[in-house]
Amino acid sequence: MDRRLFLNGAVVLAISSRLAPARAAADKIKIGALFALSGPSAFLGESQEKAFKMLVEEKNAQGGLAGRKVEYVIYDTEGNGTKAIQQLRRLVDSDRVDVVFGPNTSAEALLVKPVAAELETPVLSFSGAVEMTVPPNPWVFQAVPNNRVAVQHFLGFLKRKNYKKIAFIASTDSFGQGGATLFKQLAPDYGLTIVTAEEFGLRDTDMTPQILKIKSLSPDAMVIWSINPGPSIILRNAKAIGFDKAIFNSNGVASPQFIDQVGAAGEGTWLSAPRLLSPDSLSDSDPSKPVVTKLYRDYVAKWKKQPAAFAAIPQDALLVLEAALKRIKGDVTRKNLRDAIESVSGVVGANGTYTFSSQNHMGLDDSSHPMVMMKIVGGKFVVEP
Amino acid sequence: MVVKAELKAVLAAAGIVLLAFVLAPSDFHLTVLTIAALHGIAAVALSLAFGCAGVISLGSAAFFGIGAYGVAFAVQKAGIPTFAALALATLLAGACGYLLARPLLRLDSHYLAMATLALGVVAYIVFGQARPLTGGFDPGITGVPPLQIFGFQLAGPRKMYWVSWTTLLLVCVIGFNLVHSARGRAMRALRSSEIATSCLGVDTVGLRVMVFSLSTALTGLAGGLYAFFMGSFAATAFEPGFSIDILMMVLVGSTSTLWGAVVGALAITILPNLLEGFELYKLLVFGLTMMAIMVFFPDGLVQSVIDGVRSLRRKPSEETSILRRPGSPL
Amino acid sequence: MDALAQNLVSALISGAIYGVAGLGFTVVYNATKIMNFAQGEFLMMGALISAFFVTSFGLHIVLAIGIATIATVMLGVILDRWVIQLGRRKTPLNAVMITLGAAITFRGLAVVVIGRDVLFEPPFGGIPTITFGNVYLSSQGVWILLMLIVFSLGLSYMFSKTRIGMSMRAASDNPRAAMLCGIDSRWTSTLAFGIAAATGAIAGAFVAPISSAFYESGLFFSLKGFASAMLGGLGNPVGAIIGGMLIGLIETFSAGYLTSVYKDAVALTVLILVLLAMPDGLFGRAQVKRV
Repeated sequence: MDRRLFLNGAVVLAISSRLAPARAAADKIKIGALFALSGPSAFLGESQEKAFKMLVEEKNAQGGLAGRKVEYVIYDTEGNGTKAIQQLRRLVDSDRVDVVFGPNTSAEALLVKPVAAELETPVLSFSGAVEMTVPPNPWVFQAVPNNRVAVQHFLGFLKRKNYKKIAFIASTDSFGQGGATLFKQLAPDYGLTIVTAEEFGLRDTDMTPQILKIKSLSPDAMVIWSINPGPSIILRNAKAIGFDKAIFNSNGVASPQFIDQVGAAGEGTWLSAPRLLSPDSLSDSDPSKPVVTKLYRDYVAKWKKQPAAFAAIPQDALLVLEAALKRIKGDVTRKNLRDAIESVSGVVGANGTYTFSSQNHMGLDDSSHPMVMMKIVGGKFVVEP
Repeated sequence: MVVKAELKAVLAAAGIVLLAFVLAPSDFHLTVLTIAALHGIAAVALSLAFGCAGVISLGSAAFFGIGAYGVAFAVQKAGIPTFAALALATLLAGACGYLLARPLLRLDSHYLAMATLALGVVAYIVFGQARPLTGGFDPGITGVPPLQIFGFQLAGPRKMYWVSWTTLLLVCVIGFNLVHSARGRAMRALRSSEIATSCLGVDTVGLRVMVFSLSTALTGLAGGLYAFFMGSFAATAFEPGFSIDILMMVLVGSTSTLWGAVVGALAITILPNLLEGFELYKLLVFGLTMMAIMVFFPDGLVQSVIDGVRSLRRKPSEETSILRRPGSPL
Repeated sequence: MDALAQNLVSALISGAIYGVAGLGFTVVYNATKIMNFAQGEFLMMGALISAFFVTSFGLHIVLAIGIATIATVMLGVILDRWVIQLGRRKTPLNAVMITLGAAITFRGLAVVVIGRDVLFEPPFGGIPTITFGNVYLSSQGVWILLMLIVFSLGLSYMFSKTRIGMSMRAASDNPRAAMLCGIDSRWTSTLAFGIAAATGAIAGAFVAPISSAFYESGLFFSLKGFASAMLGGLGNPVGAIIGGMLIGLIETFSAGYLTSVYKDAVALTVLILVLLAMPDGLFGRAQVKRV
């Protein structure tokens, strides 16, 4: 008798909880975040998570985003798609968030794309994969420099400096692969030839064999596409065997610790990076300079260490969200939030200026110059025009 | 033929599956349970290989991946209808297992485990690097359409929950059938003494090859269903750690019965979700839990429960040993 | 020609690390018949703990490595004495599962105590870079080779000439007979784990300046260690080192001349093929099959 009551009660609860609509009170906004905090992409996720928490605290102290207090739930996807999908559903079904930030890596983000549409929840993805917004999905937005844009900027710089024969070396993980595919695809458009495309594993301890091969082909420049420690090892290997051509790194090493890690071997090498890496050397006419400088100072004050350049991404996502929230009066629903994000335009972030529309979920385009090229001079990052 | 007790257990399990569906608070819970079922299929397959062929495979992820990529190719590149694609992928995984079985099974247990581990890693590297075929780590395979049976589209956790659990229970029935058949008894005899069994005229190698192939085929089946359920995936899903997880599911659950694999799969799939709150301590707690289970329940959870129930049921007066005095502890 | 020699040098150094990982694995296997899946974590902890003390507290490298080794050995000893030996069913399979759980626990411990950052330790210095013409052997590479030589000679001396070493061999061959001689196989097993932990930790600390220290590198080291030990023949310490060298060679030359993408796959495929052709590894002792 009691058992039946319990069972009935459970069934009613189950059914009714499914019928409850996703609605936030007018004074709150709940963000669900999926970061890769462990696994091979942890480097990206960690600094983003720290920046996110810091920024939310700061905004809440100022009264929230457009007057709404921010609550958040963060899950570590471990860079694992199977986990990411469970956590996404948990965020939407159990935690009832209004919007999802992340995931970081392309593989996870692509996985999340169709599910976001099924769950009708807006997602501000932190992956630069081109496929996130092409073909466009009504619920998925991109708040980061698109990988294609990053590579195009890179290639443009190489062309301007007259480096024609390029040796390319990338890590075998998703970051390296993504860069390699785009690089090979777009290089011909800029008149560049790739003399060889080498690869190495993230945990490898010595890349001398690959560098020797590259050296024997006499390229004009070597481009490394990987996160640390690979590039540090490569730069040291290269120096030891006397490789004297120009060396370029991707934004995978865009962190202040890179200079310490690579030591003297890094002097005179280049890297493509978001502005956050070196706000001081930005040109004063750069519209993002104030935003970037402020983020930099706040981060250092709070965490007592310099932010990795990827930390700018949550900043921009929050700015976009804020602009969207300003357009909503009353309750926030997932649907009207999505519509509001689509109407955001001209938001100046740390990585550029964001403008969305119902056709364009990419936010930044090439004209916003999300990356700048920097050179390591005298142990510091200096922006090269 | 399946033993009556086990048939009853399967029906009871079906009832629990139904109950869980009704009581599940959200699609999130159903998603977790669906994934647990898919892991369960792979775990049952591994348990069969271990119990009937004496193989400790550390390469399950490779066959899981073959099933997943097989489905993706068949549907996307060859335009084969989804159900047929699933069957093909399963056969492909079984065929790969068959080809590898004979040479592999000559190896002694430690070397065999290492060889399967090496296989798993090689497969992972190939999955990740053969980008024209597999999409590598980025972007991987995207846009796999949902499974369609007789015109019904089976998309989303609510439908795939049923597909995966039904398949798991069917796999269990097949497994029990095998274990209790004449062949199965021969296989279990084989485990205790290979020489004696072959003296009885049993083709021990042939048996082991068959079981291994069946095991890899079923693992491939799980992988194929995974591909349909997720819609997109990358090589990271088939990392060597996943193979180790599946082995853990079998050992944590119990090797003495196929239900052990099911329980183990549920435990190890659900546990990380429960540990979310621990954040930084998640890994440590998970590791300690695993060690605790293996130390205090060395026969696995299911066997320990069975032993516990048995010892509770046995009363001191029923003690049959004449060497013990009544009333003494069991 | 220079490139060939340089590649050879790279292979030698990677091979040395793999070999020492395989050595630790072999020591435990010989003493206990257990496949210790936590071996790679010993290397990881040696690297991470020493890097942590050098970068965060500015300790001298010798002190940092000392602390790392002691900590790792303590954990290894606890693992054997108080966890594995406590288990009620002491089958090797059960022990393997426990070591798997232990590997995860050590990783989790590293996250909690030290964190998830990649730590970079500066090279030891002290030894200059050696150059033969255009070929160079880095300072850290020399340290690693020295370590390999010291460990190989030290362990082979210990096992063949000292009482402790011979006790360990006796206990693993026939525990009951050994016990009749007054050798407690529980302590020899713990000693084996201790040695494996010590050699692993030091090897990890030595390789950290080259490859950095990261809490997730344990699986990588474990894999290379197993492969080395298996290739050389499970249970044969010299085989483990030779196996490590061979794997280093195959990887390096694949990377340099074949395909840098698949170099690990090539090495492992060679391993599988060798095992299929020679089921006891290159130098393994024939296993007596139970009748």
